[in-house]
Amino acid sequence: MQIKEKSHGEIILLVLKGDLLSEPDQKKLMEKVRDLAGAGTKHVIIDMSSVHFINSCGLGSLVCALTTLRKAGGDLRLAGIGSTIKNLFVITQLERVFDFYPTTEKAVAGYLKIQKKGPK
Amino acid sequence: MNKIFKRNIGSLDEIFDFIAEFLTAYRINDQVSFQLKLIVEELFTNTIKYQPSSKKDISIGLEKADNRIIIRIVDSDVEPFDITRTAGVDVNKPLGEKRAGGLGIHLVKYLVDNIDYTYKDRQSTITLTKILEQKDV
Repeated sequence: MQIKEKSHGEIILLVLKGDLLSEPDQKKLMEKVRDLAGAGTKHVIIDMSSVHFINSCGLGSLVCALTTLRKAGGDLRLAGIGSTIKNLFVITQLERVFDFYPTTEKAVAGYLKIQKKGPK
Repeated sequence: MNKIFKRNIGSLDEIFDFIAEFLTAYRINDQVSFQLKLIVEELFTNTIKYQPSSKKDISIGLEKADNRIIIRIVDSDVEPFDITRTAGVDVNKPLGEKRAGGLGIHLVKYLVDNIDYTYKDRQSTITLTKILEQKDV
């Protein structure tokens, strides 16, 4: 799996490409997320539109990423997930803990709205 | 169809090709393809991870009978691990208490309609049945 990082101001977009299923994939993603959390990044979007297969290890790594960012006062959004993979989030009830957006543009727009309003 | 795979993660690509060959032969759709890959991958990965002392190859069988797919995974020289008796992961736990362990078994149990487990002479056989809907073929 490859990870490409892009930024939209204070929002960081991680574009995943390939299958998300092995422990090395999990480590790679977690290293990236820990670095972002350590650098004070609050808003992260993971673009899943080029991920076509994911297993329990992959789901677990997304949960770890979300937990790491929330503990650091940040947040994670998932964008572009196909219906087959989304179904796994439903089966595992993880759809209740993640925020899903159909596209990265919509996820970015959602964050920009929050930034405009300011913190609660 | 039946095939023997080396006991390492590197076999996954070969396993996915084997599944694709089976699905093409029976013209089964992409949704089932994803689920079948996930079921086999989770169980194969599990056994490699939790039965590290065995050096034996793993046999995977795929069969279509009427509206059912039967998946059979035979693992030799292993300790018993009865998937039907494992406690399911509590998917309702709050985020901070969630852990990855058990999620794979939860997914497998959800995606199939029946699971049989037998253990004899240090050989585990897991037989899973998935019933196909009309739209799947």
